[in-house]
Amino acid sequence: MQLKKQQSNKRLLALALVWLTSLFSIGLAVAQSTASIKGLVQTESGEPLNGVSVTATNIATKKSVTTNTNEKGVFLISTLQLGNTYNFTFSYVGYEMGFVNDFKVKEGNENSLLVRLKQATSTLDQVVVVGYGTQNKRDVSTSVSTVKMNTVDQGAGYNPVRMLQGRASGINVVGSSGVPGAKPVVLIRGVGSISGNSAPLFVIDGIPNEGGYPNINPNDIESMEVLKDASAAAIYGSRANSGVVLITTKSGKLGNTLIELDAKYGVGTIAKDIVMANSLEYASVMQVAIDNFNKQRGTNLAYYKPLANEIEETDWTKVIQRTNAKTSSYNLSISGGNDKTTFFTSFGTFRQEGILKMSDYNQHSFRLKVSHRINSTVQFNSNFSLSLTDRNLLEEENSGLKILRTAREEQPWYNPYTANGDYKTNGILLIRHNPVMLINEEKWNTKRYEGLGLISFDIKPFKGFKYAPTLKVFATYFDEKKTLTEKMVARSLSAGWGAIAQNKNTGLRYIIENMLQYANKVGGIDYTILAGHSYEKFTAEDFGVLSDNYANGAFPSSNFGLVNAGPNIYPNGFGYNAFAIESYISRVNIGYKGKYMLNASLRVDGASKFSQNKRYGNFPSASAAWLIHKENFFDKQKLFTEFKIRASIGVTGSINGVSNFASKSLITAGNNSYNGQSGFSLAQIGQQLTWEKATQTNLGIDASIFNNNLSFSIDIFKQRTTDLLYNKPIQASSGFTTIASNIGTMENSGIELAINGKILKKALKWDLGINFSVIKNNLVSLIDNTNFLTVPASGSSLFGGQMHALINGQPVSTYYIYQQTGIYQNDTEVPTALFAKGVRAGDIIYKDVNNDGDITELDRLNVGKAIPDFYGGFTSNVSYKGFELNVFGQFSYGNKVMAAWRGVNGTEGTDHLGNAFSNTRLLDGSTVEQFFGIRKEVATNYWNGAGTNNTTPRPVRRGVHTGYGAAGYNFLTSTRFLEDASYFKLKTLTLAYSIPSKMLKIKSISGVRLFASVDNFLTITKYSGYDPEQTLESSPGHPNYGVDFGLQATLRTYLLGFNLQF
Amino acid sequence: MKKYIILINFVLIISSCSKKLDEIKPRNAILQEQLTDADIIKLRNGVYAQVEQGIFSFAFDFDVRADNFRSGPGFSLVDAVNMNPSDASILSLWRSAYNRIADVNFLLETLELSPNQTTDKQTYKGEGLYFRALLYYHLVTRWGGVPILTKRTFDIVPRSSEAQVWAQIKSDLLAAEALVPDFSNKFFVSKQAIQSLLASVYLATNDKNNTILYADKVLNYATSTSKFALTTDANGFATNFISNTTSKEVIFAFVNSNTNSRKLYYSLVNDVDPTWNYSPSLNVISSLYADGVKPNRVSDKRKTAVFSSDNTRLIKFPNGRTGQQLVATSNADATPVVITRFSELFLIKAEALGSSIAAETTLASYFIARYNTPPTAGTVAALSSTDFHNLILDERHREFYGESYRWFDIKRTNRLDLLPSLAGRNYLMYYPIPQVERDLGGYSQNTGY
Repeated sequence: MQLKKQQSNKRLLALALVWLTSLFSIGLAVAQSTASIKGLVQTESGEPLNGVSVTATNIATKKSVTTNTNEKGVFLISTLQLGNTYNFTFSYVGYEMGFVNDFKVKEGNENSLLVRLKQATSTLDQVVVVGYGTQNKRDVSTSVSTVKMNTVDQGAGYNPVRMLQGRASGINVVGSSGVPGAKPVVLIRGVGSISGNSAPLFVIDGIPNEGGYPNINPNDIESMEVLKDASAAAIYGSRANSGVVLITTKSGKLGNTLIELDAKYGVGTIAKDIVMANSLEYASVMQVAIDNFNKQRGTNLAYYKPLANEIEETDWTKVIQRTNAKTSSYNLSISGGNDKTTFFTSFGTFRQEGILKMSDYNQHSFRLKVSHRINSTVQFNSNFSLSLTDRNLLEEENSGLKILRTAREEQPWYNPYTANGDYKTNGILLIRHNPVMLINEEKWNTKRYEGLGLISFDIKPFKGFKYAPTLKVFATYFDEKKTLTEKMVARSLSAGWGAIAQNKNTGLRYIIENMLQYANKVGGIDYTILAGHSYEKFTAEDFGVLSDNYANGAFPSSNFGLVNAGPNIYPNGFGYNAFAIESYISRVNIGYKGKYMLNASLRVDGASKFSQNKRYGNFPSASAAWLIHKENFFDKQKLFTEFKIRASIGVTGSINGVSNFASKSLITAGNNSYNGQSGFSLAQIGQQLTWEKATQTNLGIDASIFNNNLSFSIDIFKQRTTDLLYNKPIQASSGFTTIASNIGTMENSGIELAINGKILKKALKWDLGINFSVIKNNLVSLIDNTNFLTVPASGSSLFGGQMHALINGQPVSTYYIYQQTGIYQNDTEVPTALFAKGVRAGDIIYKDVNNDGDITELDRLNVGKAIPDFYGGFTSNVSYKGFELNVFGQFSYGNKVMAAWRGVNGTEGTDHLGNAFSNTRLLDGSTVEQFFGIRKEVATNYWNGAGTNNTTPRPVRRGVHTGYGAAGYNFLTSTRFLEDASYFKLKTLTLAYSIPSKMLKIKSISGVRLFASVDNFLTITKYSGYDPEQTLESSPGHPNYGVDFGLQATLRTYLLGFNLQF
Repeated sequence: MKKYIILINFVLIISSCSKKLDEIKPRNAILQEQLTDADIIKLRNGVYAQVEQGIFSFAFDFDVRADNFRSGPGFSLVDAVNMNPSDASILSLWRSAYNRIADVNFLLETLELSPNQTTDKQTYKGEGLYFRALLYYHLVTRWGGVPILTKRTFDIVPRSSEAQVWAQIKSDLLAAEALVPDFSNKFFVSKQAIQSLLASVYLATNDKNNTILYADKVLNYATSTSKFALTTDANGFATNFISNTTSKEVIFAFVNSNTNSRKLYYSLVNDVDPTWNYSPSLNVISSLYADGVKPNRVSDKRKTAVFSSDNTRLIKFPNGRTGQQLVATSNADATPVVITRFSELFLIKAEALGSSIAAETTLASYFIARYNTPPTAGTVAALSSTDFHNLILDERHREFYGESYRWFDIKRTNRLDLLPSLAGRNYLMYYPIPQVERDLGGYSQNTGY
């Protein structure tokens, strides 16, 4: 099919012929009706090319024959019709397609061809996937970044999203914690939205992904296209405000069946640890904390310390961590095809362990993609994939047991077990739930099944016209099960917890799409017109139940695996969600003489989320490009080989950020029953909402100099988003705490630069790519004439409390908190008002913004933001013969992270210095106060007298300060806990070796690549935590964006692997 | 070719229904326009459930802030009287009250619009007014003057004065008294529940005549109908706090039987897992039910219903385990959310009467019910005004320990000396307006913060 299209497109053919550098034919007559042709396919430098797909198509009968070249680059076709004329195509990955047309077959065996294929060097000739179609990169007038997948250089992860990081400009990826399977955060061109999800829309083979980030086998991916500017993304209309990532999976190619086997195995350890204090260090600090308390309060609290022979020195984090975490991945794919049918099928499996015991992530993926030409007008396409992600999770976040934090909080002088080998329990010696018990006695498993299916027809009844009806389905099934044993004393008897809690959630999204396309040429004008309609519906239903727990023997035994083993079953997690979107899609692409390109599109979306009168939104776009290098006058200069200018404007929308039923007033039941009788409550008052819309303009240049050896792209853009959808905080007297609203305006603007150079091109090759993005976000206007809105805290106070504010003129994710300027070195420096509240030498000096001698909420100020000023990445690829060395790095500057794990706004955390303690019983039954564990850094480096320290305050038992909430004066949400998260990383380092085919003794194996790789090799940062790439929440407008709560560590992983081709 | 055309037509047909956008409706909720007049009883049940949740969120609050508790196992409670505008717990209380006031107002507005005003609907209206008053009682005792909303609005309503809030409470309760029938079920609002709250409100606003008037309305009703009576032993006292209590002391309590949203008293003070928030203060354990306090009262029956040999537990709230509760409960999770007990009326009336023979007479049956050896006749009437005052506060402490009374009793009677950990920080006797709410509503802050 592909071939036929190419042939009918004379312009493309002409282009391709340019790259066909050598062609000759020799004919000798032999008297027979069939004839054979023998040929040789080589690189430009004369090396034979193995595995090139060669197709000969009889011009008269349209019949094709396909074969592949052998290791000597030779192919043979012996079934050609004598005297007939054939068109030949030659295709090979990484090379330009070769064409030989109108070849007349002469008699005998002496028909022959020598073909040299040119390596695909000019990026402008790549095919780029755009929304609802493809374009030649040369013709693209919008801002699109393409990332090709490489099976080798993926690092330790299994996440295609991570492959976007640092490899294309304008895309900011914040890596995730070390929780296996955790998804990174992707922001395209700044902050797309102040609420909901700022993640781009991921579209896999035309199917919008359900649940944000995709679970897809990265080895299946051919390429990822990031539609950055509004003009490119506008074709996705209502969900494109945050950009669109199109993921295209591999397809079968004409020619021999290709079997590929990939395997990878790795071992990871913590890249940078947070070391805890040992008992000696811990005890000495806490003694100081008690002494300081007694001195200030005139009390005589005693400090409890076990006798020396009772100390069971324990590093609690080590107890719950693996010595190393293993990762492995295996992938098998089979692809091929003939002129009627092509197919691609794959099976992949991936396993990743977390450094915390019991935590792991397993993904199994299956794909089958088949295209079949039914007749000369109709082609059938199908694409099915199934994936299962199977995770064993630990409760690391506030929602649960904070296992790693808990381990850090235990006293280093106790071990996890009692004298007779049972778990020590909270309240007896230990002051927190025993983390070993938490890990061993509660199993938390989630299984998510995703099935994607697509069936479409390409119907081409006449030249240039295509009608494509498509049905797309995305189904999800989520099965979550939490099982407690009898020994899980933290919960086994507590109401609200069951021995088994299980949720089974289902989701179904289907899209029915009808697209019409017509392409033709009039004079020098090429044009393509696209028009279509799409209807998309999503429904999801959650079903969750809880069994009894072990109280009063209700649940019989942890050996039972079903919720009905106890006498009762309780509802636990029921829900329903639905939306539908109807869309009208249209686009025109016009090219004139290959020099001037004009694209225009209009999408009209209607969303069920909005009320009837405000339902439809229009999303137009226009873009133009000028290929200056095709102008005659351009030849007069020698510097530039290619020079293209692009300009675009477009409107996109967002429906994220408010619930699917936000326009409706809702009455709920369930929780509202009283005394056994059902009850109603007004849960929501419907709001007249409208589309959040973003208008973006983009100017870009694509150029190459030095004979294509150095190419670069520059883009400048500005996006203005109006009617921001936001769950606006509202005073509680309204009966609500937030209200879905359209508020204010926001702007993103920036410059992106990508440079690719071929520095060495001989036997030793060196390609270097660098990209760099400077993006500025700021709020232009807010709600009703206000220019300032604090973002109220959300969730546990241990996340850090209120820390962000929306401020006109400032970026989203701005931290609006107290600023630490030092430590009071003497009591005399402390202002009277603060002295009265218990502040003394050794306590923090906060900036007194209003100069009233006191520290109150009025002294909070803007101290930075969680999003970076600029970021980028680089890739270096050096190859010599079969060896290849890839280095990939990235950097980010100007972003700040709230190190909540250190103990901000709470009475926990590694830097509590006496703020965190609990009552616990000793074995003799007496009750004593004991302190939480503390990290080594602060245990050995704190204020202890004038001049000793100006950053870390004095240790003091909690209770000396008044007027500052439970956490106390030194633990206010301040810059004490806000750290610079700028970094430079050498993310992956890979050495690969391709064994030359002549060295391979096994005939059936056509290629072998071996590689060794280090993932997360080196990080340069000032951040004291595991990794500066941390955020608890993915949307920059969220109250907890930029928070590092203290989840398990990211790892440095050493990998070995191979790729085999048959 | 024909079969493809059929297929194409089929696809076009199923995809060209834009009306489908209107059909997307939730399943876990219904639309407000689907409510009918017959659903009003369900709205009223919903208000009971919501207010139950709202009142439960104030559980133990006035104990924690009044030196009644120390930290429970695995917890740390330090300087519990201290408060700050940024405290998440203060914000949560404020929000909880106002969210429920909106629910009540929605019920009242819906009732207003109902075409047929039946007797039942009059009752619901009275219940709504009572709940609104109860919620404002919780607000005014803590924050003083707060925004008064008698209708729902998204507009910002400024703070009223403390006196205006009390006036609003009284006006709601007086209106409710006329609408709600006499007591029939302790888990629903009755005229006597309303009169009891009115007595408390008049006491709090120092209107002694009305305090006595309204206390008497309930006491006399009890005498004439025997619907209410004091329990006479420790087991009886403990029975007030068990699931589906049959105790005649309870004038009004929320039944707390909704397993969708459990409200667990014991998990805060007497848990079945190894850790819980609060344990009784050691000095409270040793002195609360002590003998020999003037006037001499001996052998307080309540002691064994409240404390056990395990000094970390407050067993007044049963947890379902023998030894950690005095009497068995059929379901520890369903401990009722008690609003008014009959015993309070005796103490309210006596306090309003002041040291007198009338007061001694009022309290006589109460003392018999609570002590094996009640005060000798004449000793109560003989007390000095100060000693009488101390007696009332001491009895309220004994009677309502763990029921969130103490802090406001201290504040109401201005006996800050009973709260040593206040340590001169008298501004803390008004809660701070939460900073988040100030940022949003522009409210003034209470002094001292």
